[in-house]
Amino acid sequence: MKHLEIVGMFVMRFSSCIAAMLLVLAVSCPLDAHHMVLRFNLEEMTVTADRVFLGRCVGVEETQEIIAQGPLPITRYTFEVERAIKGRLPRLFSFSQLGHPTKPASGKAREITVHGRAVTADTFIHGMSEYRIGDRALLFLIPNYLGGKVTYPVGMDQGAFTVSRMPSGKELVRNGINNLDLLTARYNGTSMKSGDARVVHPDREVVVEPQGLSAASQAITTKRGALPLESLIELVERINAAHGGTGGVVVERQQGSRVQ
Amino acid sequence: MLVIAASSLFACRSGPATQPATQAGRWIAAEHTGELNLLSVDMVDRRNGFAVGDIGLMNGAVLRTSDGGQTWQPVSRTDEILAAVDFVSITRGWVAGYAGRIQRTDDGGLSWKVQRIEHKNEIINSIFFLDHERGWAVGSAGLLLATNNGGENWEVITTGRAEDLWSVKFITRNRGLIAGEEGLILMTENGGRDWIPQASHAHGALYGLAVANEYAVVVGENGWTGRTDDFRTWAAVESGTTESLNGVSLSGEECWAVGSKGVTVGSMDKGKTWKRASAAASGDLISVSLSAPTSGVAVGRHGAVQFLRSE
Repeated sequence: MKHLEIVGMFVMRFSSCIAAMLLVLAVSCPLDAHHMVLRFNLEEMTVTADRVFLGRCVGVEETQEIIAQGPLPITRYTFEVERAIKGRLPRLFSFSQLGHPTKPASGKAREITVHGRAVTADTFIHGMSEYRIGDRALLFLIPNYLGGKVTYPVGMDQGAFTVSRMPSGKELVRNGINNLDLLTARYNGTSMKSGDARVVHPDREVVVEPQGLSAASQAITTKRGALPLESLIELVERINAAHGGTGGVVVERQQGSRVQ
Repeated sequence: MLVIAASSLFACRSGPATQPATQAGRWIAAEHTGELNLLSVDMVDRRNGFAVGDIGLMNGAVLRTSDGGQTWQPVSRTDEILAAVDFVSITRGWVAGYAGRIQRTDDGGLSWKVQRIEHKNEIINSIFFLDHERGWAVGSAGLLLATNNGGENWEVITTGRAEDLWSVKFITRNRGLIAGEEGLILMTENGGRDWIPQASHAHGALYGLAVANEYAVVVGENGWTGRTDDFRTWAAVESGTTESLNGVSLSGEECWAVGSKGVTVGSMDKGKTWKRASAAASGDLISVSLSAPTSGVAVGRHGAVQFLRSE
């Protein structure tokens, strides 16, 4: 399987990083077009993330990081945080994801580049979200792992929502699978079980607990595709509060960051 | 018999429709197909059809029925979330989905050839072929693709739209319609080169579109339903439901639309009046396809399938 080839590549060079890659594999196992990833509904996604924020990408740095006993390719993204919904985030917030962004390669058709080298589509890791400078996104990031050096969105690109503006001025967001099952996916048990659900109930007739929600946010339960940004944020805030969260805070500085 | 439930057409809920049904039929729950969401269905004839949808941890499948939708069997595996399927014969058809990829089969779904490779951030919601050569596909953020050689080459047509496009249908080589987000209806009279917005009077998303030579029907959020006879002016009609309608299909004068919570509404007069039927499925229905009057299939979340039969 393609993902295992990637893992093998890493393992040969950085045997001590097996655990790191297995951690990624625990939630993803990419194939060709899409990837076998545990499906997360919005409540499980919100509970799993320790930082949820809306921001604009202002920096992309492809580099390496010494993780365990060897260097691994990582990409350090810097976002200007517009709104913190969960967690304490600096105005300029940097985080790192394993791997480098893909790019169209010059030369042979169907060729892409991964980790700075031209490779075939067979060795491309799908599912890891990517951002370009200027992208505006709503991100749900898991707690840092591998010594606190890297993170990624919950459910890979499920937890990365890009923002677009309609002709009416309405702002919509969608993740890498077009928000499929965002409210109807059954709990996978990664961070919580259905018995712990407070707001999203995929198995009930009323999927989203309407208490305290605006009519607009209730309406997104049957909306397909891109969802209204403000309604989705309201729902996330409601979920966070229902699980005892205190809401996000934007602070002045990022502790331990190297990119400000 | 694999039927597990049955319901009668045009059951008691009274809507504002004033004309009674003239043709009887009922929706019947089909054999359970599994837990994966089914996002699109296309019936080639009364017996044969195909359905596609979500992937799970063990991939997804292209499903086929040869008994009018009562039972379904996987004919091939897929690693892409497929949101669109269209067959022009029992052997030749296309699928497309959330990777922007388009594939064609010439052997009834047993094998697939990739005709358009994966395109990051391109989502295809609908694909339609007028014949074996001419086809179109639409998707997120105004994406429109066209082919005139059976899908061997796909050309991106600039629509200038930012809205998601949900459904595309053509009546002739020149005349086609697209339904999309924020009440968007686009029409072409020159084979898809130029698309003119039409006043739909709808504000929400229009998910489903069905066309005939002399009329067309659109459905969408909050049960909004509209129709046209001249392909220029659209009139809203009462659907009998406020649930979102995700898909619509027609055959002759008969139309059926399906949506959230299994809502199923039908019209026997070209979409002028609608009545709610007792659906066999309780979960959300996403897509419906009629192959003939009183013969069709609807599919939806968690593998829900119901088929239409005459009384």
